[in-house]
Amino acid sequence: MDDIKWQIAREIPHLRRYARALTRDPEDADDLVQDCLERALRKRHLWQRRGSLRGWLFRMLYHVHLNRRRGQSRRPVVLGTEAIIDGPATPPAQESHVECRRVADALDQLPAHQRDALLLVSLEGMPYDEAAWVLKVPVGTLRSRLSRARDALRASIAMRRPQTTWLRRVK
Amino acid sequence: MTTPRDPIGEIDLQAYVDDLLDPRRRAEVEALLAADPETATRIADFRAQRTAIRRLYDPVLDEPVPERLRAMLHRPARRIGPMLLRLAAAVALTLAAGYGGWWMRGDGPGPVPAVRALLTQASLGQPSAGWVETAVIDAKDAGTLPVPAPDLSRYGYQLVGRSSSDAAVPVERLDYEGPAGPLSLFLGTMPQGSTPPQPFAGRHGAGLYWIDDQRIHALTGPAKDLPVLAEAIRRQTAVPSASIEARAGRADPTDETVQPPGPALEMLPMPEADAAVGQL
Repeated sequence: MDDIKWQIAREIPHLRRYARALTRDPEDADDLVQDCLERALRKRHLWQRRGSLRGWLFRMLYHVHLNRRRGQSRRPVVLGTEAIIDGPATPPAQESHVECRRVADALDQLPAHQRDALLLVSLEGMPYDEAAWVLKVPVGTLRSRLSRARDALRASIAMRRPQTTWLRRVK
Repeated sequence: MTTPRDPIGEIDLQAYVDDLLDPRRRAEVEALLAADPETATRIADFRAQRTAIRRLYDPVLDEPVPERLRAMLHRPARRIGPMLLRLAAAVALTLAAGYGGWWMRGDGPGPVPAVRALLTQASLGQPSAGWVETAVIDAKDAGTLPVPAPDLSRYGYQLVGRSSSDAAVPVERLDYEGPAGPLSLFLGTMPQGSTPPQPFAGRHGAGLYWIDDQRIHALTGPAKDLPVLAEAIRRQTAVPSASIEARAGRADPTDETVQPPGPALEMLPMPEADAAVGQL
């Protein structure tokens, strides 16, 4: 395995995490990562060692994702949050489990481009200029999307919090 | 006594949530939050969102990577390796030596005049009159070129000069310095035709010229590096035929060769987008 291949291999868990967040389906996510790796391995000689390899790979992943999403003609995400939260990993404590579900549901309500930006920055902790480059938008647009996404998410979570407690009691 | 800085804006608050502020700015934001409970609640909520998002998806990092993904990295490369390209070019050079520069004599089925003009420039020992040096600011700066200057730093070649000819047929020359000696790339426009790399006798010894994407390229430099460098240049300057956007001068969405901007870009004002943030 050459040096770049080895470095690409190390990024796979991060690619899978963002892909899972983008698609919310483990199989879809790994298909996406596979497409991305296919491209990355074919084009790895084009990576010029300036900037981070992670950024380069994420940009490719996101591009593949957009192409697939266009192809799916805006199929709404109908997956339950259980698929994400009750994975093989240790389930979070009860209270935060409920809170995570609220956040996951609220994330679903965001416009896709806002959610993509928020997830990328929140999960990867990428500097804004790199995140903007990955998403192929100007950095100001990225900031604006982040800001909008956070306020919308906040409103949406707040709406789900106290007023909806009775719903859970009925269930 | 601290000097007053810009008032804290939405940009700072977002960057605070993402831990992207320098310590001093961070302290300023914290001072503001201490005095403004409403904003403090908003920012605390944002930080809680961030924690929740990580809690949702961080477990993926600890999952074993599926076999189908791991297997991809162990497949042999399909692409022709540089060694093979070098061998092919060596063979081509040997074959071409027999022709002895037939195109220079101007008889037979030689290259069309535009090609001949460019190759003549590329084979002269010294630049002819009429060349104007232009400053090398950045390899990404396209200047008058139809494409950005190819970046050959991976191969040890740094761009050291750029000049253009004010002759009737515009020609651009890029000079590089590398481990094995100088290298020059001559670029001209060529409305039609396509020719894979062909050897010619260049200024720095060996030379390869080819026609792609309405451009003629002549590369001259150390013989052993030329085939690999020519391939690298062809890859970097290729215009995807499907991409009309790229031809219209917009960013090509399929182009992964572009590298992330440096931190300086973060500082550039984005009036339109900042206004959008301000309206929130």
